[in-house]
Amino acid sequence: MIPLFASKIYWLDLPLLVVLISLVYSGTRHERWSAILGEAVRWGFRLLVFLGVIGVILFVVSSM
Amino acid sequence: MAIVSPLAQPPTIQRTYSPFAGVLSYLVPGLGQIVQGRIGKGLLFFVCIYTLYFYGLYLGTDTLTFQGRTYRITDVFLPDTIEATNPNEKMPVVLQNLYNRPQYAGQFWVGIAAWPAILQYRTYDRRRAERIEDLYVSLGRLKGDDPEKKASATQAELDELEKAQSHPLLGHLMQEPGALALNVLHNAGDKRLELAWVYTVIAGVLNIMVIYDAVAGAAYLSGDNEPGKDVL
Repeated sequence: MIPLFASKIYWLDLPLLVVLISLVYSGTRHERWSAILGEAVRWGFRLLVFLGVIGVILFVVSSM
Repeated sequence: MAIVSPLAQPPTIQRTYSPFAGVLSYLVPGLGQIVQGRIGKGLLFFVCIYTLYFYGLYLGTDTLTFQGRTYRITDVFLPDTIEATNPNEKMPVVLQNLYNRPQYAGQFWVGIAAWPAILQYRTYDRRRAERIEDLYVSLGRLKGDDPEKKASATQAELDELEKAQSHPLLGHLMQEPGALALNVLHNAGDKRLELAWVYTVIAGVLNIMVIYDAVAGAAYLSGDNEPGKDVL
């Protein structure tokens, strides 16, 4: 198995966290389903990018 | 041709406030929205926040076996670490204990689901817990004459104390883990508690926004958010 997916943090824990946070946050911003889902997708993407950048930085630092 | 001023304000929508719905959403996430008739949105909050909270609780609640003894850990608890009799301390004891476990200040906002920790805090006997840990240690160090007889007596006292320490209704659910249990966990390099409490704290903090939504509606109230066929 690819080492990245050996730990469920990467394929279960973190994605679950990102999806649920995005949905609840967007739910408190808007009233319509379409607006909530659209905002949730945008926030989920932003969170993934943010976490991905941190992951890359940590990977680079640990590889030096 | 009509000229629209760039400074023209969009039509304002009057907010109606509902503190009672806020209380309901504190008790059970999404309940205030459901009572208001926003059932889909209430169910969304209920499922998402309870999934986060109980998944975190599931990750952080476990028993560990080390050198033949079983230790309990949990990530939702309020510790009893402060002497109530210190005359120099002005801050209430419960706030001092919260200072030592600030995670609970976030977890508290998930509502009823975090209350067992308060019940455990109110009935927790620190002296008895310390005695239990002493007995755990002494059981592993019995020497001299007739160690089996001593071990049997120590075990009997330990069983009695552990039974008394267990809450009559909740058992050990959300009860403060002992220092020995945390040492065993951390010495094994197990970081699961550190991940688990993040879930429960985030669930509690998100519920503050859900409470606001129940009290005053969605943050962006515009014509698009007015009730219509696409509304939750």
